[in-house]
Amino acid sequence: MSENHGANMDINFILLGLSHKTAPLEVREKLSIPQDRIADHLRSLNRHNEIREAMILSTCNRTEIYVVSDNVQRAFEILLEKFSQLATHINVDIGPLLYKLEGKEAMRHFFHVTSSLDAMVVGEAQILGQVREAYLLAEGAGSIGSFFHYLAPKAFNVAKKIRTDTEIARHPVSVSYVAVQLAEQIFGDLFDKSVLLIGAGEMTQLAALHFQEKKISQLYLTNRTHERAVELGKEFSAISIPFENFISHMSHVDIVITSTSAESYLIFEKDVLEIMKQRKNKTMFLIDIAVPRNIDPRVNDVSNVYLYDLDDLKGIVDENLIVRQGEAKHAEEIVDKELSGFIQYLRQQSMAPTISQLSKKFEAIRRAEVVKLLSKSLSWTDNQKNAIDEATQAIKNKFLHDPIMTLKTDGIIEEGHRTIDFIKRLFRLEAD
Amino acid sequence: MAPWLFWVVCGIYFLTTLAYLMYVVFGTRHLAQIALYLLLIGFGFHTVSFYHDVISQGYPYLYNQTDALQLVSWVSIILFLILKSKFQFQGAGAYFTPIALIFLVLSTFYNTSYHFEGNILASPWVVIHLFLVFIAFAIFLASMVVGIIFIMMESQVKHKRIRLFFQRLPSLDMLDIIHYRALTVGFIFLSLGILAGSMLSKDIRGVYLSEDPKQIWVLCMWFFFAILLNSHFRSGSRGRKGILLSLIGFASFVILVLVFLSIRHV
Repeated sequence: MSENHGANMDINFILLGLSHKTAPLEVREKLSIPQDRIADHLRSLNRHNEIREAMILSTCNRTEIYVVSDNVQRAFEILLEKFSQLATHINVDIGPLLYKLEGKEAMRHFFHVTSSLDAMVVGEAQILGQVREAYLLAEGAGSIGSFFHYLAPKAFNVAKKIRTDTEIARHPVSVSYVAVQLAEQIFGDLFDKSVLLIGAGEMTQLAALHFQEKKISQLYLTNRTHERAVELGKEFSAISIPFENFISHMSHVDIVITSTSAESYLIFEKDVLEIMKQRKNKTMFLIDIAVPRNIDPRVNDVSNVYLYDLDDLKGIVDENLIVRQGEAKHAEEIVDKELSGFIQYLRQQSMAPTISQLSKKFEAIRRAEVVKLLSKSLSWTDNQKNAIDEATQAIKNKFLHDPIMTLKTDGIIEEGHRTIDFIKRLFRLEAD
Repeated sequence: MAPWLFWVVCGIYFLTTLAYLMYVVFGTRHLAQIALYLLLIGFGFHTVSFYHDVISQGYPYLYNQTDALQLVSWVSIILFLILKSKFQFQGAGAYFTPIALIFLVLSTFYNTSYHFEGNILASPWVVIHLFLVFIAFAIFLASMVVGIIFIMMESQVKHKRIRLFFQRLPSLDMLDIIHYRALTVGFIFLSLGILAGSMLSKDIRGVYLSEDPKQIWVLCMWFFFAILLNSHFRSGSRGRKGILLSLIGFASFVILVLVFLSIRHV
């Protein structure tokens, strides 16, 4: 287990990894580390003296190892060995697929990953949870210390800020989720709405899951093969209805999703006109994700009926992807600003012990001199003693004010640990 | 309203409008928060001066066009605050605040005092009638604004051209509900206003209903809205068609108010 070294600025934070940007899926899936094996890998990394803290992030799109080390060169060698071990069973030279980053760039990358700016689908929400999980795993394995306890919560905050201050997450980029969002835009809360799924394809099941997350009142399901509908009905807690008369059920459902392999239309304008009469014109949303289409496009002409087919939904997905790319630039600006603030904070943290030592040394000198002065005579009155104490306090504070302020400013802090060493040598702080 | 206070309120409503428009365009929640604080400050000043006007003028309040227009402006802000708190419809600020501002500015142009004929001022019904009718007008106006937002948004959904601002608006169903609720409340105020008007007519002319074209017009309008609301509640008339019909009814209300504002003798 790593020691707690404090957020010291001479800590070197490095990363070695590969992602969807550098490695094909067949390599990524081989190098992906199962969740139950991560703790073992972290412990094996921690056995090296050069590794102070370590965290592994392994998802379907990336495997990255983040490390805090005093010896960057050696730490990279250790990480490379680790990746080589992982790649022993594949016949690919992974060297060119790996990227290595250190210091500020590694931190920026970590912020980008956590904020979903480095994701395959920019802005997707899953990655934040995965980084959180990786952080908790590392904490559980005892492989991280104070640096990660500063870095990770900060990265989570930045990710949250990006999600609230930009449009990056507000534009869904999957067909089924676009359908759900459209339904919400039409109906508002979906808790009192019922949904009918016609067909039992993969897309329909995905849409069913998304709608169920919205706590819809009832899910109905129909399929040409009734047994399949019954089977799926059990899986989704849905009521299965016979395929032959699903039209008659449509008058009491608000949302219909079709994805059968029928060669011709299943739902026509005249059917929907009749259904709308029975529904007293209550709004209806029809989603046709079948190819070829299952619903006559003229249905969209009926008042208070909205029909979207696969192309319509894909069109929205494409537009949303463009919006997300645009928002990513704004998000990167947020990351840069937050990163600068974070690095400054780390530097100030690293100066704190030196400032404290300096203050203590001056205070010790002052006290010693005051005691020496007071011991020279027994005739000091209390008022005189207080006056001497206050005056020497004021002198000490005025002496220290400028050096401390300068230490806290960026100019000196930019010099890093050399400044700290210089101050320590100048005032012989270590010796004391 | 004291001139300096008037321009302070106008200035704050202008800034609020800008903040709400920016919120609708960029979606930054802080902007909506800032806009709301600004609006509350402006509305506070507006209310104080409104109260002061009513007290200082004494009876008859609403004796000039300025009062009527300022009343509509003030009620518009109240209606927005109701929409915001009850339906979380923040984006409505981008529509209601400029309406309040426009009515305030218009009140400086339409500032003629009416010449009340005969012993009309002796009847207490005159103020009650005008008060109820102008409140009804403000509520109908709010209903129409929501209706127009519905039509714009419905058109986007229908034609699959979903663009900007989409996510800062309530759902289509919710807009439809708000439209009809406001229409119903406005209709109640209008009905009460018409009743007060007929009491006024009885006081000054001795009959509840005269052949005054204004009265005939108002009655026709009342029947139109009554039929519209009846068909909504009984047979489910809703959506685009229902809202378009209510806009026609409202146009007749606007004409009536314009006629009233342009006359000098009551």
